[in-house]
Amino acid sequence: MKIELRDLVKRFEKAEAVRGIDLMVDDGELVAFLGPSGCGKTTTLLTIAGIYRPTGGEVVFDGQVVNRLAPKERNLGMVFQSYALYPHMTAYQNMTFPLRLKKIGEDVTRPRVERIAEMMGIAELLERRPGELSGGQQQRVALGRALIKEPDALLFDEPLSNLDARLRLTMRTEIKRLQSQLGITSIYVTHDQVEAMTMASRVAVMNEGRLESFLSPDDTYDRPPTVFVATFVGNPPMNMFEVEVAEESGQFVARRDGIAVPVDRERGAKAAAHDGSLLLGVRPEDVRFAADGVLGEVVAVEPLGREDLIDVETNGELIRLLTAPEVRPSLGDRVTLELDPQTLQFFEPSSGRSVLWN
Amino acid sequence: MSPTLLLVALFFAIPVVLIAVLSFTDMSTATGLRVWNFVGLANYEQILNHPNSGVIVWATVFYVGVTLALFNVGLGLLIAILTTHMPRRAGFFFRGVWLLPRMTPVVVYILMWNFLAERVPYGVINEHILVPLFGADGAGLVPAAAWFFVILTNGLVGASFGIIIFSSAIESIPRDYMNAALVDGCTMWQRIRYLILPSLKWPLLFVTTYQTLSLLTSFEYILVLTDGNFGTRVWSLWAYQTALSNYFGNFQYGLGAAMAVILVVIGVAASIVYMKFFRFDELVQEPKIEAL
Ligand SMILES: Nc1ncnc2c1ncn2[C@@H]1O[C@H](COP(=O)(O)OP(=O)(O)O)[C@@H](O)[C@H]1O
Ligand SMILES: [Mg+2]
Repeated sequence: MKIELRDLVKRFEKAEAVRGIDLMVDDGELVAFLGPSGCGKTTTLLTIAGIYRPTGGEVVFDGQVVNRLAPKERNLGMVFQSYALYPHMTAYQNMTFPLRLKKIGEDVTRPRVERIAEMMGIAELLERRPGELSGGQQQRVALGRALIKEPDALLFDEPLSNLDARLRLTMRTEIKRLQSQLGITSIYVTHDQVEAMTMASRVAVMNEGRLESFLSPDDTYDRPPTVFVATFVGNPPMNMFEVEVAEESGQFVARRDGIAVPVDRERGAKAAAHDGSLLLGVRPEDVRFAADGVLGEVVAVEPLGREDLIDVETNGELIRLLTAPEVRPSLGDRVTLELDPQTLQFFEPSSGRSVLWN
Repeated sequence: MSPTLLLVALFFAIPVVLIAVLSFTDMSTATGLRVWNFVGLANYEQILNHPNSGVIVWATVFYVGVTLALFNVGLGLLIAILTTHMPRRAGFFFRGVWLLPRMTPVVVYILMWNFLAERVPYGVINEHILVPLFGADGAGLVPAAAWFFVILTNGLVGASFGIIIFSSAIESIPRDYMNAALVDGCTMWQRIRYLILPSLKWPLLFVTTYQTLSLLTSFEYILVLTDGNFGTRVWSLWAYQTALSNYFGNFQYGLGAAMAVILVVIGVAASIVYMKFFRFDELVQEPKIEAL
């Protein structure tokens, strides 16, 4: 099923949670909604589910506007962060609940539950109550309950946030495998960018009720259309400082007092066409020590295992870079930095929009 | 001795023991505190053989059962469900209004009812509705429908306790459960049936038990409304009238105490039955979580 949002708005008494969202989820696609807490992800999801009625705009399923359809008429499955398994029912009863509501008989129900339970490795747990299951087991039962009615789409609201890191990793893979195997259109809400980037074919980055970008994971990372996307996605976050870009004897250069950074032709041309100063963004992994470049002093060294995170102060700006542990500098060392000219981002300071990707 | 035990002993155990001891004596206004005797089970025998006992037992069962089922639990649950399904502020307002009679002194509250139900020309219903519109004889309504008024006056106030307990229990059901039920395909009614009611097991047990005990022992509404006339004398009122307030002026402390003891025994028995019925042991079971 295709899910489309047209200028979706949801206002509560005191808050405007969703402020005009347009997007289209293709049939069988898994899309992630990514954004900081409070940006309106859950509200958007619940509006799609029919729990909230939109204040404005439209929710469209396969070309049909469904704004006024009750949740039970939408045939969706939903998985919650808290699992939301009914505590007074066994796992089996929880999973069959949506079918019992439709008066579907035990002869259809039982084999279906057994197949899904088998698929998710919870076949032995069916007679237990939620209180007797671990978090991971509960989330599998909850996923089973969402799948049992063979929904047209699956909605996930931070389903793994309550699990420990290792379990999160396995469940992530499992959900992704299950989803592509069954080919069910899915929306996966998360505030964890790794989850969003690894699972989704496209990532909708949200901020304060608005859609900041809706791109493939690679494009979200490499071609961020706004400062928000650039700094929210990526860990540690992108370095950002103000520069002016101009062409000097055939080479584009981004300058501010004491700093001069060469920029590649294509990016430089777009940036130089823009009057006044710009925000230059560069990811920590695209900065390295070099013989020639921006001079600075090491003010912090954080070993992260596979690499080191180094803070370098240069003319009042802090630039962070990731380096191999073998070249670890000492605090106070004078170093020279090179910023990879092919990865530089430029944003218009007042609007925060990229001058490269809009 | 821990402070808790001390308090329990002071305010519950000691009075109960004293009453129990008293129930084996013939103490009354006539004997005073000097010449009373232990009389064994004589008081209990007297109650058992008393010509009114049977009627009063039935009146008590009727009064407690009907008020509890229709009002304290039934109406309380209904209003709680309704007010939690309307806009929050409206719900608050409605429940707040329902608390007013509880905050009104019993005598004033019953006087207000009397003002409605009195004979002509004192009662509003008679004076302005029944007599002019239906040509009724204008007699007071309470004697004709004593139980109706006894249960109504008690129930309307009693329901507010259930309303508060049930509605806060409903509101504390996590949002996710409520949403999950709708996504799973529940109508509002099915959500009440399959999710809300089952999660009210504890509050139902609590309100039923608490209100049974309080109905068994409270008689002040009946006292003021009918004084036990028109067949509305319940056990606790009988005990009160026997021990502390009767026309004959001979207050039979010993006999009244025996009646009170019987009431305590019935109350405890009822609580145990409720716990069995609601499968209390299951409610307090330890969860058996094991790691994945
Ligand atoms: N039922 C509600 N009533 C009023 N305000 C709400 C409600 N649900 C969410 N909000 C508000 O809307 C905003 C977005 O919330 P939410 O969608 O839960 O964000 P997220 O899921 O991204 O953390 C928040 O400011 C929140 O306080
Ligand atoms: Mg949320």
